[in-house]
Parts: sequence; C-alpha cells; structure tokens
Amino acid sequence: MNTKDFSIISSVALATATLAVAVFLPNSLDAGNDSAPQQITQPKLVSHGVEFTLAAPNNRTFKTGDEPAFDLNAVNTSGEDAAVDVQISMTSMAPSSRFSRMPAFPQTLWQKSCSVTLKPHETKVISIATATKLPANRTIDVMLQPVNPQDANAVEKPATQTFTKAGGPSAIVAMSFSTISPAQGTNPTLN
Amino acid sequence: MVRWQTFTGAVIGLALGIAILNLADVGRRQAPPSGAILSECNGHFRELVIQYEPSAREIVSRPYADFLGALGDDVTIDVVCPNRAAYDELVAFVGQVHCKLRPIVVNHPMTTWSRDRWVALAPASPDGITTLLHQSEEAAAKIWPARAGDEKVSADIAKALPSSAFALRAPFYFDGGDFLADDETVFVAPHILPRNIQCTEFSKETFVRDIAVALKRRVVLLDEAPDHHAAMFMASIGNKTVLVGDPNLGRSLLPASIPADFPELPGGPDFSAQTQHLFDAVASQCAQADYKVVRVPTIPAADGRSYLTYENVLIDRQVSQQIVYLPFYRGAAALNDSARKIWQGLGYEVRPVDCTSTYLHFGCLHCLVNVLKRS
Repeated sequence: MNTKDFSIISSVALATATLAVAVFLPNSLDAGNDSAPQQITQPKLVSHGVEFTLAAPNNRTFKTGDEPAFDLNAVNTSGEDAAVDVQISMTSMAPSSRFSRMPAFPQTLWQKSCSVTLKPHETKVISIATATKLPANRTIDVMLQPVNPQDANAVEKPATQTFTKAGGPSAIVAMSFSTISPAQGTNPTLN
Repeated sequence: MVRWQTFTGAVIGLALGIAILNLADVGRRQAPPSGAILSECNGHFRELVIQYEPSAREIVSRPYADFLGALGDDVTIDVVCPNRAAYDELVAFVGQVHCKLRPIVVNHPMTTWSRDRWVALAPASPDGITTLLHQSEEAAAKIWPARAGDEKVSADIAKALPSSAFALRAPFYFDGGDFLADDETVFVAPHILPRNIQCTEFSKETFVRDIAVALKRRVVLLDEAPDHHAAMFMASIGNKTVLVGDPNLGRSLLPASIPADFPELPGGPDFSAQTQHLFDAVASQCAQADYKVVRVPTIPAADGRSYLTYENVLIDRQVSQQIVYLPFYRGAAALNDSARKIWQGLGYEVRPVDCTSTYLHFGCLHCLVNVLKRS
C-alpha cells in the first residue's frame, strides 16, 4: 500500500463517517422514551354508527374577512338506517393577556345543528355555509359534537353574559386555523 | 468497478460513524424508573419550583412574599427566571426568608405560571430522580413567545438539576392543572378532552387508559365540570376527601349590595343555575368515586376564568402537622373567614397568602407553584 492508496482510503473513510453521523445523529438524539404524541390527521366524530368528518371545499384556506364554508362528510358504517343530529360550532379565541395563566374563554362565532339521515352504508356530503366573516387576530376552532339536549353545556347562559362556552366534553376539534399574523402574535394584548 | 481502496475506506468510515453514534447515545440520558404522580396532599415540602418574570411583578410579588416567607429552612425553592437580574429582583422584594432560594436562569421568554408546565412523577426509590412529565406543545405557543419559552422549562430544570430531575415528554397534551392527585386517584378536568380526542387519542377510553399508565394512578375523568383547571374548583386533601367549590355558598356570604372594595369580578359574579350545576356535578362525581365531599364558598366571575377560589391551595403535611397555604382576597373578609374556618375544621393550620393581585389572571396560588419533591 503506497501513499496514494492511503490517501484514497482516508478520504473515503472520512466522507463515509461524516455522512453516517450527519444522517443518523439527529434521530439518535431524538429517539428513546421521549416520543412526540401521535397526530390524528383527519379527526372523526362517531355518533350512532355514523362517522362525521369536516373539510374545507377544495382545500381552501381561510383568512380575515372570509366567510368559511365546509363540507360535512357523513358515512353510515352500520347496516341499518341512521338518523343523527350533529352540531357544528365555530369558535374564536383572541390572544390572551401576556400575564394570563390560560387563554381567554372562546367565543362562539357561529353554530348550526344538522339532522342527517342515511341508508345502510350510505355516504353523504353536506355543504355548509357559515355566512359569518372571520375576525382578525383570532385562532379559530371548528368543532363537531352530538346534539344532546340533556348536556348541561348545551343550555344557554343568561343573556347578561357576554362570554359563550366552547364545545362540551363530547366535542371534537375538527379543524383549526388562525387569522393571526406572526407579527401580531408576538405581542399578546395586555389586560 | 469499485477499487479496493474505496471499498476499504467506506468500511472504515462506516465503522467510525457507528462508533461516534454509539458514543453520542451513551451521552444521552435514559429515563429513570419513576413512580406515580406526586400527591397534592401527602408529604412534607422539600423542593418547590416557581417561575418569575419581571413584567409580572405586580401580580406575583405579594403571593410569593407571603408564601416563601412562611416556609421553613428545610425547603428549597428553584426559581426559574429569564435572567439573573430577574432572580435578584425577586430576592429583593421577597425579603428575608428561611427557605433556600436557588436560581435556574433560562435565557428565554417565559410566563410566571409554574404549575401547568409539568407534573412530577415520584422517583422509584427514595434517592432516585423525579421525572418531569411535560407536553410537547403548549397551547397558543405558536402565537405567544412566552408560552413557547414555557415549553422548554422542564428541560431547563432537568439540565440545571441533573441529579434530581429528568424531563420526559408525554404522549398527550395537557396542562399540569388539568390533574389533581392524591395517593390513590388522579382527578382529571374534562377541559383536557378537546385537545386530545381525535387529535392525539382515538377515544376517551384509550385516553383514560393512557393517563392511568403515565401517571400510575386510578383515573377519575370528570364528565361535567366548570371549564377550568381542576384546582380552580376542587382540592384533594387525602383520606378520600375532596373540597369542592360552591357558588351558592359564596353568594350567601355576600351582602345584598356588593361593597365598593370587593374584589373585581369581570362581568360580575356568575351565580347562574348552569354554573352551579357544573360545580354540583363535580361534587356528585367525587361522591360516586367514594370520596367524602366538603363544599367551600367560591365565586366564579362571568368571564368563566376569574374565580375567587379557596381550593387553589398548597398542602404541606408533616408528621404531626398539616398546613394549608390558603389564598385570601382583600375586601372579601366574610368569604375569607368562612373558608379559613372550613380548613381549620378539617384540622389544618392555615397560612394565608394574599392572592388579590393574582386571580384576575385566571390562576391563583396553586397555579404559581409546582412541587418537585416531598419527603
């Protein structure tokens, strides 16, 4: 083995080692018991054998002043006729005071109850228009929940109260988006 | 065709790379064995954690001064601060205290609320390491730099105290205040559900199972409760007993016309039937879980977030003494007296902490202080 051979072996070894470390080291540091939560990409509400999902038509994104519309997809997974009431709520939350322990109470921007009847294994897509303009500087959640008149959370609060309640424990957050620009987000409001 | 020099070099390089990766892995800390979530009501305080951010001085200076001033010399307080100047400021306004103060300087924005950042899992052995179970993403962190900084606090503490704390990310989203634990049960506020169901967990059932596995306690998930953190409306005091807030009781202690110096309640007090129902539902679910329930006066405000609460306490239990650090609010003497008598009647020495400046920011004493170690 001459000097040239040694030079080639050293160069290739160095390049291979660098490549191996660069590719695998970040994974190695992130691995172990410290795992990130799984993320369910398509939230689904199941009520009386019917699966409900929500999507923006044509993957549309929403911004301040838009009037969002949604497609409610209902799939009857059972072998029987189904008639289910589902409530769709759109809530908004303003950035909190920077001193707050938690975000302020969400306000309900819009809500609608849909009665859906489906034959066995039938699928329906229901177009929903909110006719509600999105306020600026808010985070928006769109929630699905079964309609249950017995649910205490469904009872309206007295009219004297200016704050409304978000979905109850049976609600799922079907979509989330924001009308906050990054620049606004760096300066939460003060009380 | 690959020449023999290239092949040999690649083999040596791979071997070298594997050796470096193994060394890096050895350097990474492994999760220590851990026990159950630390009880809120058993054991003597040994090590507590507070966060101090100078812009929140007006909010926390009174409760910190009252609380830290009442602790003994066998308690260590880890003070998480954005910088050293903040720590020095806290030491100055707190004044002379018996407990030991120790700074953890993090050099990033943060809030002043320690409780929600993590829950402590007790060490598996008496001389073991406490696991700080934290969530991977704080609510609103994307638009709130201080909250984004809060995400790092568990790791900051573990880095500063490697022999006593280890930070571990939970497989679900939570605020520490969503849980309230004693030696047997962890009560979970329903408020936690929308962040997780159909987001990190497929169903409520799998979620309850995963919480029980992570916290190693029986889980009582409250189906109905005020939309707030658990310790805002209930306190777990051991011996299968809980205190639950009662707006009606609070109302009975108010004069016919609310005096001018009464603490501010945004939107006025919320004595609605629906809110009363939610507090009563908590009491009834605790009773169904075989707990004795004691009701305590509470006044929630109509903003749904600001509470005059006497459940947001810290309990220090020693061999022959049980102490409660109990919030009080200037201008609410009748409520304060009633709550104090209830706690005294349960055998507690009451050490009052002025939270008049705090409750309007949606939290109180328990929300400001986290417990790392009890004896």
